[in-house]
Amino acid sequence: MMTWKTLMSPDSASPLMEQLTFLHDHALMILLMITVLVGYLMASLFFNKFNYRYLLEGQTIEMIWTILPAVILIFIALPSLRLLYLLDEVNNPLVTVKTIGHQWYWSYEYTDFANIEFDSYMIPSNEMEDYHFRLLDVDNRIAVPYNSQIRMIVTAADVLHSWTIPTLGVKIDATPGRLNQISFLLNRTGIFFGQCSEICGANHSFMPIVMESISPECFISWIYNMSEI
Amino acid sequence: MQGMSLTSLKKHKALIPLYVCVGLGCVGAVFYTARLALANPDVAWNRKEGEISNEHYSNKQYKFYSPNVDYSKMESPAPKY
Repeated sequence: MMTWKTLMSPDSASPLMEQLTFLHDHALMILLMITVLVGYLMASLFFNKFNYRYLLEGQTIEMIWTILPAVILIFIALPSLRLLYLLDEVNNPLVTVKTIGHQWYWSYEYTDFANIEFDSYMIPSNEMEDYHFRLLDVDNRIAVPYNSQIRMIVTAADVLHSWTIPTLGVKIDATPGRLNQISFLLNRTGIFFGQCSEICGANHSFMPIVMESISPECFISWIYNMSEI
Repeated sequence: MQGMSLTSLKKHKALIPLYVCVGLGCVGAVFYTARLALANPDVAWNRKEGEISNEHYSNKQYKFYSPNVDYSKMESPAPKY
């Protein structure tokens, strides 16, 4: 998860987010090389005494600095397009979780097995325990089995919201009257946080999302416990 | 203008990669627009009897590049009429 001082991407919890991080690192490396090259050229201009008043054309160098950027762009485009198509792949989710954004909390429904519905409110700062993350922890977390494809169906009950978990590389708008679907896979257990990402009123910053990734057996017993409440 | 005729182009050879890149871009844009107009399942040119447009791709691939899924082996769970 990210804290106030996180400058780079957080560790990923999903293979697609991992690929996104790799693409980011690849593109940033290319950008840094270009920046260093241009910076060096500009700095060397300060300190050299080359001088040629009658310069009119340079066909060879112009050919180089047309073809080389095109090649660099191909190097950036090919991994980017591969990931773009990979993110759009259809797959067969194991579990479907529905989430509805309200002002100002999320409610979740698991209707695959038993009719489980619950609301997830942020824990207010004055009711926080020592182990809670301020403004990030909630009373009821969403539990999902790890290493399984999860389908999220997101909508809203009143105004626009947006459901996101950055370490999974997932962000979907919750639009009233519309069902948006996204699918992801968690490849490790743990607790993952996110915050509402579409301005929705006074408490927009105070409706976080917390997902707990657990083993399939624990998930089944969680479903069983929740369905008895 | 220099570079617009073949003789002046031979003197300014550096314009050739420029023409190649711009040409590829234009060809790509026209090709993709034509593909959308002619092959997109959401577009219908022929209003007469025939195949329903969204069934043409039920086991063909429309995406340019599919790393994982083999579309010729996919079965849609929708009912067949």
